[in-house]
Amino acid sequence: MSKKEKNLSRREFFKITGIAGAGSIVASMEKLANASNKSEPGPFKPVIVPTRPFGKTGVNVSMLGLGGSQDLMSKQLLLRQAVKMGVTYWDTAHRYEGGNSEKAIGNYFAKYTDDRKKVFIVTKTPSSVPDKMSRYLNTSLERLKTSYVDMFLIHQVSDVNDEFNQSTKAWVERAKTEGKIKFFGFSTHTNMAQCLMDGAKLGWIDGIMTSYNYRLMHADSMKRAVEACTKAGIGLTAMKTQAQFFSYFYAKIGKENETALNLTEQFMRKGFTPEQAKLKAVWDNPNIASICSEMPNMTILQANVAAALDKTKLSFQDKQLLEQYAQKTAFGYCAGCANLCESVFKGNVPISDIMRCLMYYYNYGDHRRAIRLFKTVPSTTRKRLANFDYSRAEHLCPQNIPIAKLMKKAVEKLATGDLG
Amino acid sequence: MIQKNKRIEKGETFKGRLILLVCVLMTISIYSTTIKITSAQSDDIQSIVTIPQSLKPLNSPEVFGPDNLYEKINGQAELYLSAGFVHLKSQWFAEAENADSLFEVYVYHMGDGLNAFSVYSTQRIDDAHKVDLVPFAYQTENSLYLVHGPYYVEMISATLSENILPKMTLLAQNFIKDTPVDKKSIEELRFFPKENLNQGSMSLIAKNAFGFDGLDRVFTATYNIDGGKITAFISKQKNSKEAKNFAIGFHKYFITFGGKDIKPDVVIKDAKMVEIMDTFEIMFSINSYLAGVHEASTKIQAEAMAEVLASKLQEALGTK
Repeated sequence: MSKKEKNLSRREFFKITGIAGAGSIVASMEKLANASNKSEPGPFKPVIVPTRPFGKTGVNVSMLGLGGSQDLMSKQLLLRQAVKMGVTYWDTAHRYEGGNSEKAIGNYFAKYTDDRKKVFIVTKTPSSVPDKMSRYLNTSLERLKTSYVDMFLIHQVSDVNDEFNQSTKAWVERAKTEGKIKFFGFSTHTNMAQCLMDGAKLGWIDGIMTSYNYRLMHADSMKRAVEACTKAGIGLTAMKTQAQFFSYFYAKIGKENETALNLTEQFMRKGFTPEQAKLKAVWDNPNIASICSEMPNMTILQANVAAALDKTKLSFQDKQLLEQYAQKTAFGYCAGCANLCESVFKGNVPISDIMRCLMYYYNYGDHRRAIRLFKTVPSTTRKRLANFDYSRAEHLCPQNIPIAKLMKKAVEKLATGDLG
Repeated sequence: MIQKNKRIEKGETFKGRLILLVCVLMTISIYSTTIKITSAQSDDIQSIVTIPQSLKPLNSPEVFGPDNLYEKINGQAELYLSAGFVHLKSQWFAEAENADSLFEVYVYHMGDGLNAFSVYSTQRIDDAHKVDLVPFAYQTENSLYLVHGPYYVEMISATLSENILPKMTLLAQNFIKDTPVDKKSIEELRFFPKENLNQGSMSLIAKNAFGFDGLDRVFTATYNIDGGKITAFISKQKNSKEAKNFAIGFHKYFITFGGKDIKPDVVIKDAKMVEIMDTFEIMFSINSYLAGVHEASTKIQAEAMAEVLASKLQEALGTK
């Protein structure tokens, strides 16, 4: 963490997070304020989230950012509190909430004009075609009621070389000259490591928002990619830091549920919630400038702010615990590369789809749907499903998903299923 | 949502069209030789929607669950997941006579009608036109949106074409006709006063309304009064005690974050008022309903709106 980061003592942090976890908004806010001013008795002084340098831009951004894919129109107070607590990196996108996310932020800026300068506003365009980008940018500026955005991103890039070319670069230079954007980059949550490496090579990317969490951060490819971006002076924002999409489902198979409970218990004993620990694991990398977090209510905003303010780094044991948890439940976090495992069977064994059947069965309890979908697999494949040799597919799986075990589980649970 | 737009943009270029053609051919090839469960063999949109002759599907439907919705619509997934999302089926269509005229259909199964209305209402576009298909439907110059039972449906065109909207409407009519649903009306919407109501402004916030942890399923409607916009809200709680506690907690919430307690000049029992961020909030409970006024410009406007809302609510509940 940067020296500029303002911190609470560990003891104070425990106190705050314990209260925030209990969900008492009134108490937690008072405690948060009191804890931050323990040595300075007197009137209420709001806490301020620390900042970090954003690549080579020369700008410092708040290490905790507010995600805008939510109903911000009814949450002007949350925006106000975010500014007061120094959560001034705000992320939105052209299409979030049908454009209402940008409009809600615009309403806020119209009312609190001074806050515009305090906020590092990031929005995203769904197109990388230059004339379309201009159209989307102008619409965003109009909705946000501002003359410029701090950073403009191409949304959801999975292949940098396919998305960017000289005309993109020329457009960026023009938009910067016109003063409509300060910085430019892209967001990615598919092929992230490759996108980061390719982005670093371009030489004119200012910032990248990427999926990055306690599961993904240990991969050598991701480590190299983050390093390359750091060397290239690219500011990095982490998203999907809780890495929770698949874990609920697979955690229910086998003993991993116990692992998850152990993780929760151990961190709670230390004064963290697992969610806060996962944020801290990401912040542990000083090359991550900010975490973009959804924070849909004041309780979560306060809990995350408390985590950002805490001066204590995760201990070696804490990190080991998280890493062990990530390893033990890695097979619960599919990295979205079915083309690898299914290539072994030339596409004739729909591994990822059968996993989806299991997800319906275990996670959502929708047995009928799981069985119905499973029955669409040709009977010849279904009959042999438990007997295929998945060793090569498992070898190719970067997440070490026990494919054979899961396919057997699918046969066991779904093959004889009667829809009734 | 983002992914769809990216696809739309690419569909407008020659390269994009070429890729699309290759994809369609590949899809047909894959369809005939592989066993993907997301193909037309499954209980997908092709089997539940009769496709008009004027349209042709370009690919097999894609199916997304809560685990991978974000792959299709990126950060927008949070909105759907928090509102009870079950699954999404999407598919590209083109005009039979004009392959360049494309649009993508998204059928979100949201679990129930309230959830579907929630995602519909919170994303509604301001300059849209109401469509007489179902109670909740609107269109823009290149898109159509509707709620049908637990389904929230979007149809979004790649290009502006005057021919495409009628085709979308036909497809939507077929979907409605072929998909029987429980046509239960939403009771809370009847509780909002009609006078000065902004048409089409009624919404349902699924979770964390106003940033208040635990305040879920809140219906809102906006009113234009003396040039100012006011929001009224209603939320059914488990019982009258819980509704009363929510009113107290909601009042404390605003006070905690800098609000000033004000005595409201209204004849609503136990009503509370706060001035915050230069606007006025009123909250009260009637039976098992929490109700109130949000972000009124003046105290008088807030009080007037609260009185009208309380009166209408009491009338509807038969407690007046």
